This record gives sequence, structure tokens and C-alpha cells, in this order.
Amino acid sequence: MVTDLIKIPCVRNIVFRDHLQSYPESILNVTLHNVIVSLKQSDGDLKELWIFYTNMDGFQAKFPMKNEFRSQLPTSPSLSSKYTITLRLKTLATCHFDIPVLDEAIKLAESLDALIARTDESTCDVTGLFPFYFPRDFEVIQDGWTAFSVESEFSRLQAISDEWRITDLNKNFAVCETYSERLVVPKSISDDQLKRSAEFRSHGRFPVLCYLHKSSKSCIIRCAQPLVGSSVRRCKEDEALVNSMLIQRHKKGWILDTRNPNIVKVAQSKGGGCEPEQHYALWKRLHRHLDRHSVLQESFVKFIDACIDQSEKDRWLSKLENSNWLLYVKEALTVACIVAQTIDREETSVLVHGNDGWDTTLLVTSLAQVLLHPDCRTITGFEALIEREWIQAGHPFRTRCTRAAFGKSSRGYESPLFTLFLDCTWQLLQQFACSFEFNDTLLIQLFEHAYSSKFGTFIFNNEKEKTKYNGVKKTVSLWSYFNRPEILRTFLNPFYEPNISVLWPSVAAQSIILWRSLYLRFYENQIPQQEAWDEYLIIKEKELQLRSYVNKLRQELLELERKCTEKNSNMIKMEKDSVTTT
Amino acid sequence: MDLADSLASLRSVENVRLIDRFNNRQQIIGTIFLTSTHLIFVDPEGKRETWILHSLISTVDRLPITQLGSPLRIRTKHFFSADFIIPKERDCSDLHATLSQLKPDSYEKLYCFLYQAPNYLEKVWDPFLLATEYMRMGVPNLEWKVEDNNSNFEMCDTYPPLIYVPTSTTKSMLLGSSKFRSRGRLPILTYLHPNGASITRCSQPLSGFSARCLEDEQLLQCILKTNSQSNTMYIIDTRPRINAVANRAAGKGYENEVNYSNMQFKFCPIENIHIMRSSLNKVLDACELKDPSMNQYLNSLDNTSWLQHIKAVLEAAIFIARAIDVEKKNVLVHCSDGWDRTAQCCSLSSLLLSPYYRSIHGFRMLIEKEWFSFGHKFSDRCGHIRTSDNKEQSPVFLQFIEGVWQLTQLYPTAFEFNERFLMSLHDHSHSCQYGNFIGNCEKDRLDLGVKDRTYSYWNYVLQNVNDFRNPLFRPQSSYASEVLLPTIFPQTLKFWLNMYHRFDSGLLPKENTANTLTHLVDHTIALSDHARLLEKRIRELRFSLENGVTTPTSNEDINELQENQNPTSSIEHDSGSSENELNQTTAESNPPKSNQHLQLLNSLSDVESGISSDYSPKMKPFSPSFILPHQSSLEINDIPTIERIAFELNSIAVDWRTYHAPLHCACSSPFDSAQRKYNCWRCGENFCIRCIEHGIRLPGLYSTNFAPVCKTCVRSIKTSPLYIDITASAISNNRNKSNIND
Repeated sequence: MVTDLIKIPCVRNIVFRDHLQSYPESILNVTLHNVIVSLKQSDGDLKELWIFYTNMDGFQAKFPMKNEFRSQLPTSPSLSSKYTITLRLKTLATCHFDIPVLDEAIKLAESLDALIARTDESTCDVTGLFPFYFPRDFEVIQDGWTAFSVESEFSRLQAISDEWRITDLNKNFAVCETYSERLVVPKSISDDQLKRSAEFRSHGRFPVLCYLHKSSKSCIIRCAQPLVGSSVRRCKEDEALVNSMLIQRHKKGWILDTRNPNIVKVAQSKGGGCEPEQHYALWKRLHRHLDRHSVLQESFVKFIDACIDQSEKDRWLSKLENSNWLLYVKEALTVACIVAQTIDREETSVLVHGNDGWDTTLLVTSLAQVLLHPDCRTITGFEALIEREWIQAGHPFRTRCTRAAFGKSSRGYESPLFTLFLDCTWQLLQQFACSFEFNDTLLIQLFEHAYSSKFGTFIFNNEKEKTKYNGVKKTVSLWSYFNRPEILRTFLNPFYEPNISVLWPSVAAQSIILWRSLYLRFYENQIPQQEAWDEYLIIKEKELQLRSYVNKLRQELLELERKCTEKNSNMIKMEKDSVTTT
Repeated sequence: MDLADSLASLRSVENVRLIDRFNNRQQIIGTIFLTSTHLIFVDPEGKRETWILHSLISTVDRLPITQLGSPLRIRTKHFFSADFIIPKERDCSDLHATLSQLKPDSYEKLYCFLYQAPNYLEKVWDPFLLATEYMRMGVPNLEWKVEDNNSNFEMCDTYPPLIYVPTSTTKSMLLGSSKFRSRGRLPILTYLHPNGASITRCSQPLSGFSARCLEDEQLLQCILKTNSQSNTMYIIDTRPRINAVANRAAGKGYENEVNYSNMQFKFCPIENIHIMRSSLNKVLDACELKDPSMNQYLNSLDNTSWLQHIKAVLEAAIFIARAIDVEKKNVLVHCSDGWDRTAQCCSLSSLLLSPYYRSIHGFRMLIEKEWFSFGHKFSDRCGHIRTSDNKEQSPVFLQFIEGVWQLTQLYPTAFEFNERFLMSLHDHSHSCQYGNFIGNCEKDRLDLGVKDRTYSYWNYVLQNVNDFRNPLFRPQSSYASEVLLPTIFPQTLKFWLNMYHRFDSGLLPKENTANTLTHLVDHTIALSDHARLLEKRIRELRFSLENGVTTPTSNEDINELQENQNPTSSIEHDSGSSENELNQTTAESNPPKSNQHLQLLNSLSDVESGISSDYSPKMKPFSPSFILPHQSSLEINDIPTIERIAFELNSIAVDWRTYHAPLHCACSSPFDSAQRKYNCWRCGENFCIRCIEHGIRLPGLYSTNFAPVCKTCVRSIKTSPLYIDITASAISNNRNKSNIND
């Protein structure tokens, strides 16, 4: 029983501290899904803080031994009865509980340890997570589960080209467990051919369309690696499928492999590999390596450690350098730019894959779409992009986000790919501050919800899992929560001016900067920045109001003018009349 | 002139390639022209002109010859770096020789003595009185007095004539102390906090290993006693301890704690000018890196230690501010000579302590006081003239400016000025265009007579104050009105991309929010002015409808003038006093035309307005000036013609071209993201600064302020027959105004 894990339901009289503030006389309640801290505000009111176990990344208990205390006593009497538990959250916050009674502190630590371990992906039943118990506390205006269907995206495609169709081949996830049930494929390829192609690709992830460019009609295709193996197998149907996606036959397409040739060789020896040029003669191959999995995770851990290190010794820049995080941001953006350039300038198609086609592949294809497609820079468009390119495309969110920057991973499957995607998007937002409908609040919220959420959007590894656990019925979609006026308002960018052109960002090292408002938001005072943001809104609002006021005045003036002329002509007429009568 | 002679041999070089710093393939072929003041590179289509002011050139280097010719690298003090490839080697060496000789060998040849400012600037130096600034702080008072010991610079030639010291000091005490301090720079008051704690500054004592000076010790006790809230005070040595110790061997050093009772000593380790100079050089090298990998770039930044130095300066300033505001203790600050690190720390801590210094006007006062009056050696540190020792050059002022910038990044709403202002200050400390930054102390400037012979930088700022305003400034915010005591972590500091990479537009954000904001604020000002005119016209037409007046004439009556004197629009209110000053000065610089001309215009206008047969008398009974606009409608007799209203409406664009849309100005010069664009108030299009005129009054505006208008629109307005009408009325208003005043 889960309740047995709770060794102590309530701890009183604790001090709650984070980097900027401290609340004495707080009360901590341990529940099934979270701890609830009641903080005493300066005005005497209580504020409740909910910390979900899914949000807890790790914790440290610091319980000095009795004799240690004695040695400390003369110098710092305030420490005399303080046992500290430090919680590290996936949202990157750090908080401390100072507990006066040792026994309570030990019990709390034990409870937390067990309850946090319970959220581990390998041991935990997803239906035990909070989203399955979350009572929706707001009015749904638009149901997020149905807001982004394949059909709605397909209708946009059809306006550009009629060479595509939706296939139901994957009904009940029969062909590919990690794809959604309906997929967009070329009209000229039959379901049988698709099936064969699926057999030839890792995890059955056969090539599907993910983006069609309006001006050039060239497209981005993604899939998993082909099962070429050391015997260099081939699959005619797969070749036909891939070739049919090349719209202009006179131009060669590009196959972008997100692994370097050495890794491909290793993969090939294990049955995978890359499309051999002799069988895919219409395509050129390009290897642009993007680090993934534990390498990326390690980088993230080091990076966050550098960000929150406030020790006296100034090793910040070298620690930042060592973490390699900004390097990965730069690399991901560069590869996305290569794809965008091929699509828009070279006007030919790109097929992207790595190993499984659900990690770096998605990073590249989604970023390229932000560059290429103005719709992706609107709020709904960006939500649709995440739904389409990350959730429906089978990025294993729960596996990747079980631990964030502080936790010890049990199986080592965690990787902050989605965070990297958000960071890259933020870099674009930074460089094109007026081309996005949203501001960084949306990106920060997405980051937080991906790691720990009340909503069901990011808790499954793929669509099949969502169906299996009946996520649509039993949990609430994050988009339902976001897409309400009072929330949407906080995401709006006052500078937004729709920009239909393709974005060409600078990917030079000098242009890649640290996303302070995410990584440092619990460690730097954010109020001055918020004030500045309010001022942005006021300035924009003032200008808008004045513009409509001036227009109103102008209309009124013209109306008056018309009346005056009428009156004048009437008077002249009257005068004339009077003249004629006399 | 010597300069002309040396330039005579070489006036222009053709077929020169300008290579982009980061993209070798991007080359422009054009011609270099040398004038007596600038090096100008023009591409054949004339689309792009690169102007380099001679006094801003820092280094000219010849690089190894390539197939295309001889490369010449010019680096400037405002972080522009250009590689020119010159086809003929001879031309290159001539150019190199000429440019290398450009640096003047005496003050007399500096640019400020040649510079001819545009018409709107006058050689007017509004007198800066140190006394005014001290008066603002409530000095002299019971504790502090002013002394004229230094009126002929006899005690200390790098201090101002008047110095502020504790009332309990005697002249002999001051004299004795000044003899014991390096360069005679004795402790003097620089900032007095409302709580009574003060910052005093001086140079190091000539203590050596054992020397002491009773007068100096007494003076410090006098300073301590000015603040009754604490019985100790800080002596802050802004050098690393080891430097201070090393100075003892040269007969200098730091105060011996034994001799100075009740003093708390503290070292704030800021490195010396030589280390700072080499650190900046490393920054410049890091900026030159061509397509570095992320790690190369971060590594090279780390190796410069530049941000660590900035952090050291800021931390010292924060320590001082905390001591003053929280501990309520007096602080005495010195370094070696007390004109570099001391100036940085005193000015930054004053900025943290007093909101006044965060306004444009206050910031000026701060610089006048800490940097100009107390003798920062601008000419030596910036290397204005050839005779100055290269080892004397150091980015001390730049570090101060960057420290301020870092604070503006932390508190975006707390400062009235913007980044452009800080960059302009830095650039003009090197440009020698204005006399303020010339010489090494007040005495030098007095001897050179800069106030009579050069333009003042502050005058330039005042005339362009709108470009330097921070649109986010929120005076009522707690950050703008209180003491700022930030905690600086290494992560807090940013690399100032817009300063060091400002000419590399490829690296900068493509869409600049700061400029977008300025654009919005400008638009708001234009629209609210226009709205007031519309409101007035509506009142007039309503009145005429209701009262059956059908005699439209074209001249405004006095009431409008009255209303003009009482700005009611909130925008004008917000803009503060300095803008009003601006408006006044611009108005004065364009005096009204002669009366004869005026009458001619008046008669013309009467003919134009046509319809009226009954010409109503212009002089109305004088009405009280505090009538609200809507109440004054009774006085309205002059109803504008329909053509005139159309003309007025036509002169103001309600919607402006979005800031980012055009990539080129109408003159075909390309916009880059850092550059400020100006919107023409009439057509709403974006223009570069050279295509905008500021000397026209738009008929669609209520106020008689000059508005930025593009050249095309200026022409079309001026050729309109109705325009004359309006100018005439504006002038007649002016005349009326003077009549009334008489």
C-alpha cells in the first residue's frame, strides 16, 4: 500500500527556504502525490505550495550527529536544533526544510525517499500518477485531446499538393507501436508497400511526411534507421516509398543521418545502418552528428550544476564550457538550418533519421519547421508542432523525463532532448523577438510540464500507451488548460508581427546565449525583469489604444465635416430661395 | 596645416576590397577616400559608406600580402575592425604610413578644435557648477564646508578649485594631508547619503614603511566625526593587497592601522591599469575569432578574465553602497593615485545609492563630478595624442560604463538612459569630438580653453535626448527610487554583445526589442499630439454646427496659443523636463522669419482660404489661460476649411510601417538590426538618420514641435499652398505671444 510509505503525515514548525526567501513556522503535509507546504506570509496569511513527487529529482538529508552539534554550539547556537532536508526539483528549483525534531526529520526523509522512488518509470504504474487523479478545476473551452488531429494538418497539406493521403494502416498500432494510428504518406504507395517498408525500418517506423513546404513543395520526411545490417539488405518497397517523396526528380534529395559514420557502422553491425547510396541513387547522404541519450543528459547535469554554483571561486565560464550544453544548442540549430536551407533554397526534400527516429530526429525536424513555417511561431501552431512532432511521433516523454538535472537515474534512459528543443526555440525567439506570437513563459511552462505535470499530455511514451491506459478519458490535456483566454494572455508577445519569411538565425558561437529566465529563474531575482515586461505591455497597449482613438476621432471629424457642408449648402440654397422669392 | 600636407600625397585609393570580418567570401569592392578628419570607404553603387573618424583609429596593421593585394587591418577604439585589401602594395604602404601619423602630437591638433557641428548645436557650455551638485546633497551643512584652498590649483592640480571637507578641519590640516598623499590628492567629500554617511576619496598615503602624518590622521578623524551614527569608518583600498604592499617600497602604500584609530581597513582587489589593458586586448582577440566552436569561444572569453574584472569593480561598489546604506558608516576610498579605480568605485556606488544619478541629468552630474572634476586622465587613458605613453592607456572608463550597463541589465526599469547613451559616452571619450573629454584634469581643460573653442558633449545629448531615453524607465518603481544592492554572481554578468560586436550585425539579434520599443514610444507621442488637434477640430466644427457659424478662415486664434502653454496631454507630461528644454532650444535655433515676409504670407493665406467674405478680426479679447480646452470652445470663431482639415489629416500617418519590414532605407543604404530607424511622421515609413529632417512643423500636430519627416514628405508639404498658411499662423502666434509678453 502506498499509504504505508507515509511514515509521518504532518511536520510542524519547520523553516522553508529557497534561494531568495525564507518562511519560518511553516507546516508540511505529506500526501499520496505531493507534499503540501503551508507558508506563513509576512502579512500572516498562509500560502500553499504543492510539490509533487514526480517533480522531485533528488533530496539530501543533512542530520549532524549529536556530538557534531556540541562542537558547533558555541559558535552558532541557531544551528543547535536544525535538521535540514534539501529538495532538488525537476523544475530546477532548490528548497530546504529545516526541521526542529530529529525523529520527525528522519521519518520525513524515509517517506520522501520511498515516495520519490515510486515515481521511477521502471517501477511505477502510470495510472498511479497524479494526472489520473487530477480533478479538473477549470472550464474546458477546447478539448486539447482532439484539438490537433492529423486531419486538420492534412487539410493544410492538401491545399499545397494532392499527392498525399492519410493511411489507416497503423490502426490499433498494428504496424508501428510508436506511431499514431493515422499517418500521411504518398498517394502512389500502397498500404502493402508501406507494410514492407515498416518491416525494413527499426521499430517499424517507416518514412512518413512531417512537413511540406509551400513555395518549393519539397518536404521533410522522418523515419527510423533502415535494417540494412552487415549483409546490406535492401527493400524495394522502402526505396519506392522514399523515392516517391522526392517531388522534383531532377534534383537529388538529402538523407540527413544524425549520427556520425562510426556510430552508423556500429549500428550496421547490429542490424541497423544507413541507406546505401547504390540503392537510393536519387539521394545524397549527409552525416551531422547530434549527441543524445546519456551524453546529453550528463551535459545537462553539468550545465545546471554550473548555473547554480554560487561558490566564491569563479570558474563559471570554464564550467559552462565543460558542460558542452551550449555546444549542443549550437549544433542542433545548425543542423536545423541545414534542413531549412535545403528545403527553402535548394528546393529539394530531406529525409531525417538517427537510430530510432524518436529523439534527435524529432529535434531536427521540429526545429526546422519553426524556421520554415510561420504557423509554428504562433501559440496554437507551436502546440500543434509539439503534439505532431513530439507526442504523436512517439518521443518517449516519460522515459526521457523521469529524472532531470539533479537525480540519479536508475536505468540511464533519461535525456533532455525536449529541453534542448525548447532552448533552441528560445534562441530563435531571442534573435527574432517580433516573429513569435508567444513569449518565453510558454516555453518555461512547457519545460516544467514535460517533467512534472497535473496533465496527461507528457506522461506517456507514445500514442499506444495513451490509448492503452485510456489517457484521453482519464486525464486532462495540457492544451485544454493552456487554451483558455486567461492563460493564453500570459503567453502573448506584445511585439509580435506576423512574419511569413523563413528565419535565418545566426548560429555563431557569439550569438548563442544562456537562457537565464529558465535556468536561473530560481537563483536570480526575477522581479525587475517582470517589471520590465509589464512595462512592455503597457507601452504596446498605449500605442494600440491611441491608434484606435485617433481613427475614431478622424471618423467623427469627417462626419461633422459632412454635416457642415450639408448645412452650408442648405443655407446657400435657402439664401437662393429667399432671393428668388423676393 | 600639417595634416593636410600629409594627406595631400594620398587622397583616394580605388579597387579596394573590404572583407567581412567573419565571412571571407563577403567582399565589397570600392574606393577609400581620405579627408582631413575621416577615412571613408564607398562602394561603387554608393549603397554603403563606411566612415572612420581618424581619432577613433586605434591600430593600423599590415597583414601578409595575398593574391588580391596587400591587406590593411584597421581597428578602432569603438570596436570596429576592417580588413581592406589594396591592389597596389605601394598604395597600401602609403596609406599605412599616412594613417599611422594621424594621431595628433599636441592637444591643439585634436579633432574638437576642428569639428564643425551641425547647425542645431551651438558652442554653448552651460556652466556646470560643482556647488550645485553639493547643494543638492545638502552641503555645506553643519558637518561639511567648502574650502577654496585649491583655487589656483596650488594644492593639487588634478582637483577642482573648490573642495568639500569636514567643517572641523583647518587649512593647515588640509595642506599637511595633501603633502602626505600621492599627487596631493587629499581626502575630500564626493557623496553624502541622506542618512549622513558619506563617501570621501583620495590617493594613497606616502607612508612607505614607517612615515606618518598627524594632519592626515586628524583629517580622517574629522571625517569619521561627521557621521554620528557610527564610531568607526571604512578605509577601502581598491587594490589587491599585494599591490598596496609593493607600493610601500616606493615610499607610498596604505594607511598604517596603528596610526589611524577606529578605522576598518578593507582591500577590494581590482587589478591595475596594465592588467585591464591586456584583458581588453584579449577580449578584442576573442572578438576576432573567425567562426569559433562554442568551446573555443567560451574558453577565449574565460581567458580574458574581463567579466571577472567587471565583477570585482561592481563588488567593490556594492560593498561601499552597503557600508553607507546598511551599516551607516563613512567610507574613504582610494587606490594608487585615486583617479582610476577610485573613480570607478565611487561613481558606481553613488549610482547604486542615489536614484538621482540614474536619470540622464543625474548621470551627467555624476560623470562631471567623479570623472571630470576629480581628474580622471581621459587623454592618457584613451590615448588621445601621440605623446601620451601607450602604457598609460587603459579601459578604465569603459569598465565603468560596462558596470553601469550590467546594472541596467539587472534593473531594466531603474535607469532613465539606455544602452545607446552608454555607448555614445564611451565612443566620445575617444572621439575627441567634444571638449569635455580632452586633457587629464579640469586644469588642462581650462588651460586649453575648451569651453570657448569646442562643443560640449552634454549639449549634443540634450539635443538628441529622445535617442538616449530608456522606454522602460519607470520612475515610480521601487528599483528606480531606492538603493540598489544586488548580489553579483559570476552567472549574473553578460558579455556585452552590442558593445563589442556592434558592427557585426550578422551576430546580433535580427529583431531588436529596444528599437521596437523606441518605435512604439515615438508613435505614441506622434499620435497623442495629433489626437489633440483632432479633438480641437471636432470642438470647432461642433460649435459651428450648433451656432450656425459658416465662415471658415485659416488663422488660428490666440486661444490655441493659450492651450499650447498648458500641456494637458499625458505624454507630454511624462516626457519630463529635459525634453522641454530640448524643445525650447530647437525652437530658438530657428528664429521666426522677418515681419515683412510674414505679412506677405498672411495676405497669401487670405486669398487661399477663399470662401470667406466676412473676415473676422484676429485679435480676440484676452482670455484666462487656465480654461480647459472643452470650455474654451466659446472663444472659437475661426473654423478651419475642409481643405485644411484634409491637409492636416494627410500630414500624419496613423499606421506606421512595422519596424522590421524594410531592409533598406529609401536611400538604398541597408539597415542593420542595431541601427536606429526613424519613422517619418507623415508617411510612416522607416528611414535612416540621414534621410530624416527634423526642422518642420506638421500641420496635423497640435503642438508646434518639430517632427521627424522624410525628405520626400518635407518637399510635398512645403510645396502645398496650405502649408504656407499654417506656418504663417504659427509665426503669427509667435508674434502674438511676443506682443502679449510686451
